This record gives sequence, structure tokens and C-alpha cells, in this order.
Amino acid sequence: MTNINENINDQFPINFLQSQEQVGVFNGQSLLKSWKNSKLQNHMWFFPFSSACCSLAYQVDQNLIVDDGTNPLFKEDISEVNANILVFSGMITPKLVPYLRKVYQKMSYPKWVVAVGTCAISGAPFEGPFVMKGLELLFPVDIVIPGCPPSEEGIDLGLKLLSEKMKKGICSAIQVNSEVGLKQ
Amino acid sequence: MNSHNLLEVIADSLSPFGEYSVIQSSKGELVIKVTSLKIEECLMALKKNCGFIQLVDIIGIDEKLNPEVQKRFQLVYVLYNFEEQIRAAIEIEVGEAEIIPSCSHIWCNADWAEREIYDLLGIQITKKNKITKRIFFPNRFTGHPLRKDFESVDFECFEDSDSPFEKDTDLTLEQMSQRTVVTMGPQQSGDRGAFRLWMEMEDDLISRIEPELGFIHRGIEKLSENQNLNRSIHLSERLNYLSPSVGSLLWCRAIEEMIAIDIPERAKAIRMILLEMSRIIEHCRGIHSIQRELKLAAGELQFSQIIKTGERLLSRYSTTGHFSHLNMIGGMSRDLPHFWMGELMEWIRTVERHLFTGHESLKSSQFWYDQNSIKGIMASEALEWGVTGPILRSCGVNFDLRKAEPFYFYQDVDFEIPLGINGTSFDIYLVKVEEIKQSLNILAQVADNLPVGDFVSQDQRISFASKEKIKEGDLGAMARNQRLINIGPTLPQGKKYTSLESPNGELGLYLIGGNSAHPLRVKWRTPSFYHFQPFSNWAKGLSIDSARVVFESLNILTSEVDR
Repeated sequence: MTNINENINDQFPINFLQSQEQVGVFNGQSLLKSWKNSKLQNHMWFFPFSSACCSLAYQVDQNLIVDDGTNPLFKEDISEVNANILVFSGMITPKLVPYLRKVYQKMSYPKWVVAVGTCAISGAPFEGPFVMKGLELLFPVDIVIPGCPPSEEGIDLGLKLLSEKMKKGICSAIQVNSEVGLKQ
Repeated sequence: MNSHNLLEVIADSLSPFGEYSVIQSSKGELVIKVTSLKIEECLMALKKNCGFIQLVDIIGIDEKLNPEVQKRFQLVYVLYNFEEQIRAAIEIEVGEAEIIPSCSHIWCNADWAEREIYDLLGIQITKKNKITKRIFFPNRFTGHPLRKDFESVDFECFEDSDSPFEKDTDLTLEQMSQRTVVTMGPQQSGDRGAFRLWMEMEDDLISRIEPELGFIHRGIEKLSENQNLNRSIHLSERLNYLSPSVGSLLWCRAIEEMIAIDIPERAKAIRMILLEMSRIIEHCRGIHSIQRELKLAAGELQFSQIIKTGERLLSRYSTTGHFSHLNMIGGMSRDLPHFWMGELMEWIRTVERHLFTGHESLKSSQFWYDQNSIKGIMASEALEWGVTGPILRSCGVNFDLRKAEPFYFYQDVDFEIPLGINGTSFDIYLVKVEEIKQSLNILAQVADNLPVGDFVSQDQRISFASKEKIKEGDLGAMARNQRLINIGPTLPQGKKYTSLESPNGELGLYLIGGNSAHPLRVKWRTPSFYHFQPFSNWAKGLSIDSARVVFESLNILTSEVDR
């Protein structure tokens, strides 16, 4: 058995194999799926939504560094309809709740959600009657990046974890029985 | 006219309207208690006869827990006299069912302040034939959060709001059909926070514009009422997150002045350095955001370099990242690191170099001048709307709180107040550049004469006992430390309005203490709140692109507006 595994490792990248293990089926359908996953990973469409100061941690970068095409957050004219990934930072106030729900509904499948900062995770610095205790009360969250504000290294690590998840095809919201997106 | 004469003038103008009392504090601030019902006439007389031309803020107070007061609420109008440089607080008691006449026809900026009071406290303030609207919460929301008996918010009752525009009855059907309503927000591309702009467009020009607020109303004032004084420092830092140390500086200074603690000279000098550094960084941010808006490459690198190097220098001192927690009640939380002053002097030279090249390239750009000189603000208009800071100075009004009410060493350092003429965003830009130069001047003077010694006060009420005493087993010292950790300093009874010249304008804090560890009422007077309000007037008749330039030049932060 070990010999076979080595042979397969030569032919395919490791991550590809892991994604097969995750699904547990080795047939034509999952091959197509892994190809779709890698395609998605190379075309990440972010929808950065920041209601307050955590945006400084990644938006300062976005604004000050000259766009050389490497920063995935640097894209102009993003709409939530095209995006797969919602990067939310800041506090969730009652007035923002209907708007956030609308954005999440409009996003295209499969949907990943990244909660940046303590406010988005638990509402901690402003814990009280006016701030919701976490984004998870609204919809499933994939990656959580702690800190107030989170460090640049933390955000880098979080996005790396996200890309690994995308490679493996682990997602909180996958559309079932539809022509667009992944089928499971 | 000196202050003695001013008291006589006030007596003459207020006496026809019934009873009142005037108290003058040692610093020259006036407290006028009005018991008559003719509030509108009293305020009008104070503006017309006594020269109180600017309304600084209106504060509503819920006195439910105070058994001595007969009526439940209190309103405090803070006014400012530019001739005498005197501030006055007019206090009025209001019953629960009483309806107060609006004073928005006397000072234009009273409109939003009154809407906020109705929203958070439920005091009815009515204009003629108009119902008061809420400002942060939607109209369907019930309850008033700043009342002492308020409990919780129901998150499920909120829905997306409708267009705030009322139908214009003067227009014909044909004109109506040409107008379309466009919205922007709540999420923005910049770092201004969440808000929504409702715009009614006629062709590509804005005919009406209405901002919608409250998307990040965190209730900082309500939260500060329920915890001790030390724990609210981090809330004050998050008020204006672009220059966090300014908010905490004012919070600490206000409490120190109320408790009557004198902080060491070294701490005063370090706080001045922090304030001027934040001013430089925030002005550069303001200029840089307009460049980004116009997609102008000239001088962009220079201003972004000033921001980057300045942030790096501040984080070298704080060692904890963006929110520094450097200010604490009684002084600074830590001393300056070794060789930091040398780095500061180097940074001053860097800023001078970058500012020179950046300003040279922007000055010569015709595009920059044209885009920035579309809309001018009149000085009288700016005073009516309660505008302060660099925007007021760009209209030609010579007013700076660092000169008018100097604190720490501001009376000893040598600096000038730059003034503009037209009030356009180009004038605001020029004032900001000149202010950066003056701030560098102040920084150099403070760095040359930095006092040595303690960086935190050794007063028993706020500072910890030394480790040696605890090792000796001194029970009193242990109890003192325990008390400071669990309860913190107590705020004595009294009311006080403290303010300072923040990078944006006048940042004020109204504190009420009642011999307890918790304050009874906290009210922040933020410059962005009063700069956002006239924007709907100033953006009329502009295209969206030029309105965005005007908006960026006002340097509005929603975290300051919503609080």
C-alpha cells in the first residue's frame, strides 16, 4: 500500500489527496470537485465589510501600499453578488443586522465568512445592550482572527488557513442541487 | 467689555424672563440656572445681547436616582463667547411630560443635538408643526437607552429603513419624475466607518442629501456609566480610532481636574508630544484620503510615509500596537523607552523633508487646486453650525483652544495659528500643512526641554503602594492596592465640562460625579458630530465626485459621530 501512495504523491499534490480523504469517495465526481476547489482558490473574491476600527489593520495596508496585484483585498468596485468570501470586522449593532443578512443572502455559493477582531467574534470591548455577541449568531463563520485590533501576522495566518480550507473544500455554506457552485 | 461687565449685561437681558442665578467658577466659566419657562427667549437674548454666538453642545441628564431633584430631567446648553473667550452652561430642569421648544432657529447645529436627546433620553423637543425624529435608532424602536431604567435592545425588531425624504409639494409631476434617489453605504471603501447617505439626484447633481446614522452606535456613554473610571479609558481610545491617545488624554485630564490631582511635569510633556504627534498623523491621513479619492499620485508617497513612520514610532513607545493605553489617571502608564527622544528628533527631520517635497508637488498641481476649490464655507456659516478646528480656521476665524484655554505647557511654547480665507478644501489643506509645521515646532521645543523625574503621580488616591511596603507586610498598603484594582478612584460630586483642541476640532467631555466610583453621566462632544451635520447643506448642487472631496476634507469619522 505504501508504494502506491508514494506513486500517487508523485503525480498529484498532497493537498489534492487530502481533499479526497476528506470526502471519502474516489471517483470522477470528486476529481471534478477538487479541480473546482483549486479554481476557486485562485479566484478569491473578497467582500471586505468593516464597520469600525479593525479595518485599520488591513485597510491601511490596502490604501498605503501600492497595488502590485498581490494583495487579494485590493480590488475596486466589489459587489457582494460576485464575492465568495465575506471579511467582516467591527461591531454588529442592531441597525446593521438586516443589512448583513441581505449581504450574506446575495453572496454567491460557496460562501466563506471570516470574522476579524474581537468585536466581530464576541462584541467584547463594547459588551452591553447595543452590540451583538458575535457574528456566529447570524450565520456560520469559517475563520476567526482574534485581536483588538488583530496584528498583520494574524490576518496573514487567518487567510492562509482559509486558503487551506478552500483547497480541501471545507465550507460552511454549500448550495445543494444547483447548477452554480459545488454539488455534494 | 470684561467679565464683570458681561455679568451685568447678562443680568439686564435675562431679568425680564423670570428667575435665574449666575455662578462664576474660579476659571471664569459661567453657570446660569434658569427656572422660568421662557427658555427660547432666554437663549435668544444670550445670543443677541451677550455675544454667545456658538452653541457648543446640548446635554440631557436623567436625574431619576437623585432624590433631591423635583423634576426628572435636566438640560444643559453649553455656549461659547468668542470675544471674551468665556464658556457658559445654562441649566434647565425639565419634567417628564414637558415639551421643550426647539432652539434650532437660534443656532443651526441644535437640530441634531436635540434629536439625539429625544432619541436617547426621550425629552420632547419640538419645532413648529414638526415631530421630532430619532437620530441613531429607527423610528419604530421603543425605549430610550440613556434613561436609568432602560434594560435591553430587541435585535429582531430592526428592518431596513425607507427613504427619509418628504415629498416636495412645490414641484410639478414632471420635475418629480426627473429626480431619483440613490444610496451609498453602509459599508464604505475608506476607513470612515459605517453610515448611509441618501441622495436625491437631479441629472448628475445632488438636490437633497440626508445622512443616516447609528450603524455603529455602541453606547460608549452608557457603558462608561456602569463601570469604574479606569475601565473606560479603552472606550475613550476607541472613540476616534485614528488618533487613540487624544480621547484617553481628555478622559484622564478631566478626571484629574475633578479629583484635583497635579500630575508630574514629565507626564504633561509626554502627553503634549502624543497630542502633537497624533495631530500630524491625522492631518496627513486627511490629506492622503483626498489624494486617494482623486487618484492623484503626486505627493502620495510622501504623506503615506509620514503616517507609516509616525505610527511605527508611536508603537515603539506603546509596544502594544495601535491602541496604546499610554494615558492613565495620574500620568503615563510607562516611561519613554531609551533613545526614543533621538528617534523622535529623527522623525521630525523626516516629516520636514517629506512635507516639503509632498507640498511642493501638490502646490504646483492645477488639478489638485481645481478639484479642491469647488465649495467654500463662509465664516458666519461655520460659526452657526458649531464648526471648530482647522475647518473654522480655514474660514478665517482666529480661534484655537490651545491659545484660548492653554493647559500643560501650551502657554510656554511658541507657536502660531495659521488661517485661511475662503474656507474651501484647498484652504483646509493649506491650514493643515501649516499646522503640521507648527506642531513640529512644538515637538522640538518640548523635546529640548523634557523634564526629568516621575512619569506618574504619587498621590495616595490613585497610585499603587511601593513593592517594598508590601514585602514588609504593611496591611494599609495592601488594602490600598486592592481598592485601586477593584474600585478605582472615586469621582467627587460636581459637574464639569473639559475640552481640548483635538486634530479634528474641539473635543469635549461633560462629566457628572456623585462621590462614587462610577460617573453619573458622561457626554462626549465630538467634532465629527458637528461637522457631519452641515454637510447636507454644503453638498447641495454638487456632483457626487466633488461632494466626496468635500466630505473627505471635513475628516468625518462615524465612530465619533455615533459614539
